Amino acid sequence: MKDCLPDQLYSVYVDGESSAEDIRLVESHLIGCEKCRGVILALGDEAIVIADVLHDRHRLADRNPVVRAPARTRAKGLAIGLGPTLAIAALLVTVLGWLLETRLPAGTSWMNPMKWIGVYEMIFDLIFLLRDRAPGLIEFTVALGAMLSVASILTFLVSAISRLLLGTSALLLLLTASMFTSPPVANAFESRTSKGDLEVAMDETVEESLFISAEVVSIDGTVDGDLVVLAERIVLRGVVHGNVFAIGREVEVSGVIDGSLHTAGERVTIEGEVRQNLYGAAETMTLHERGRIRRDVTLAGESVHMDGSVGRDLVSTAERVNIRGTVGRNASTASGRLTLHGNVRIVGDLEYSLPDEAEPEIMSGAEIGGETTAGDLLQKLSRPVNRWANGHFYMRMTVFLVSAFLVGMVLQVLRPDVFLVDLETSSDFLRSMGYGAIGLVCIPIALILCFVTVVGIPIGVIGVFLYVTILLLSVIVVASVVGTSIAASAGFEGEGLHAFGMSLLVGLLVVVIAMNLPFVGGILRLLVVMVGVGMIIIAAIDAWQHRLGDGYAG
Amino acid sequence: MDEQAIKLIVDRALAGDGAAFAALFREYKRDVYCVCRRMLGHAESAEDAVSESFLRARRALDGFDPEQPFRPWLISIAGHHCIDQLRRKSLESRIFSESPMEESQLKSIAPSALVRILAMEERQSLGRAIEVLPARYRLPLLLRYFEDMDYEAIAKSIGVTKKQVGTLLFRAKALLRAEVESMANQHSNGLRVGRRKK
Repeated sequence: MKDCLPDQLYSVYVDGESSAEDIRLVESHLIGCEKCRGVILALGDEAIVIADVLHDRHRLADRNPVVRAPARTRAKGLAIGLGPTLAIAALLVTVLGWLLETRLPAGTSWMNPMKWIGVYEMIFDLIFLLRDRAPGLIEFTVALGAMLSVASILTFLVSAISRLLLGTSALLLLLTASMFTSPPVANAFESRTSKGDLEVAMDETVEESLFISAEVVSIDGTVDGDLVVLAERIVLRGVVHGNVFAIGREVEVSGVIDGSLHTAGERVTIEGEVRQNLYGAAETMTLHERGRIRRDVTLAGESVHMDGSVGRDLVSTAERVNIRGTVGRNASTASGRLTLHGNVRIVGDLEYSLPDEAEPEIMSGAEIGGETTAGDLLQKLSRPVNRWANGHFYMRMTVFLVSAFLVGMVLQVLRPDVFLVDLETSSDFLRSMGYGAIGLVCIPIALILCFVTVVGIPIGVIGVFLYVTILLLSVIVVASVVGTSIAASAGFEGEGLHAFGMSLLVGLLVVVIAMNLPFVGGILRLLVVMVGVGMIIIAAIDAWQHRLGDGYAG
Repeated sequence: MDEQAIKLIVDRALAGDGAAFAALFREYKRDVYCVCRRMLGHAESAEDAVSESFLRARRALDGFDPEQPFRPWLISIAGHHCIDQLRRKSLESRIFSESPMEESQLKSIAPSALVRILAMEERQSLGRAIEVLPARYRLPLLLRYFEDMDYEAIAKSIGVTKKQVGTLLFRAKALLRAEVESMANQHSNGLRVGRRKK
């Protein structure tokens, strides 16, 4: 023991910095001294522990957002960031206000919120009306609330039902189709509003798109563009060359619509011809004998009467579905009761969902070309939370996880700063949520404004893609934060792509499971998207300020 | 960025290209921040120190030997700046006085003690011990175990001999052991007191 070397020699030896002479000295001693061999091992462990702890700190420091903008520039960054933001906001408000007041074509004055007082009143009336008379349509009151995006939300909600019936891919196809098959809303809008009645007379032709709102609206003439109607009673006997968005207590269509008809109301009756698709939600929805829809029909309501002819598929969810007419391809229904009358002709398959093994009433003489099968849609709809029992759900989740993971990894390689926003304190969280809420609401409004102005359409299209991308990325960003904190609290440490990948995967799993939990899943989903969008916005702002901040070094 | 690319940028910066220096700033600010953060203990002064270190580096750039690696040079500027800061704030009056610790004291706790104490759950106390370590020891410890620099580079960076680096590191680790051990004792004493109160 008294021969043992000073510990400092060992310390240097473990660090691999000993001189050749010292190495010889140490090693020849170690051969005969078990205690010193223990010391050497302990010193090696100690060095690893110290480096670990230091690097752990490093990892935390990495996540500190101020790293990206050094202190001196932080106050500057705030000044630089806040100033222009306020300036741009003020400029936008001024320019938009000025445009609304003076520059927009006369017809677009309906965009001016000040002119909507009557419309607001009507929307509220309608919402309360729907709530009282057609509680099944409560979803659509949400659509009504978002007056500007009425068309897109309605289409989305209705097509979401059809997605359930037809499968996942149909949604994208439907959305894309309804976006691109619709004659563009590019034409300038003409707007007519009144508290009383309004009409487009038989001999009148409106050469642009028309927004019309009144107590009773009658369209007997021709509208060359799209028609957006909001009224207590809507009677369309004329011709519309574009799409029709009709929301009212009573909607009667006996004219001709070249585009698609999107409609919601208490009673909707269609006696005329729709050359494209019909999306409808109503307490009572009737396609009259003479009514003809050239393409697909997607309906939701209390009772649906299909007496006319449908060119292609019929998708319908309602308490009672009565079919008398012709369906060119397949029919899918989910309802409390289904009645097929004697003169029914369905060229393709019939898939029906009825509660508790109830059978459809199929009268003699009804013709069904393909197979008749009982689906489980109603069960799916009545238990929407139980996704976990569905095999497809796991497949979808796996596809989502894999793709989100890959996108996350690519992003980490290309733009790691997206993942650097902090969520360590509650104020970070609230800040992200605030930004997210603003982003979620403002971006669509900005996009709609882009679409309404002719020149803005390309920007709008790019914006839509960007928006959808941000929504998807938001989940990934939140997952990375969740994963990192789980990894940190589990004591898992590491750097580089491998460690990032591991924590991203863990985070994605947790977030995806949380978003699909029964009951709370919906709220969590909203939270995740909101926080994630906020974090992306903050990262973008930071990156922008950072670019400005870098200037001082140069 | 690889060595070669860095070298080209450093050459451009030496020739007075401001944009090149900005690129170096982007490349290294995180490393510099981490060192400053470790040296100074809190984030805000570390942020200031990053800016200040880069300003210093920019001013001292003429004296930089382009044949030497840039990063250790930059890190040592940051380290020295942090020591200056600490001295100015007289948080560390002992920095440049000789360590009061006796050789015998240092030997009293074997390295195995640290490893034993640090069986995972005590890592936080090691972090705290590093924070209270005198800057004189903290800088070489950081350069060695965080920056992975060899003794020679550390010696050059902090202006001592290679042998002194070995001594500084050895003492740094001994101090850490002592600190962690005393924290662990305090902790267990606290627990005992707590139990008695019950």
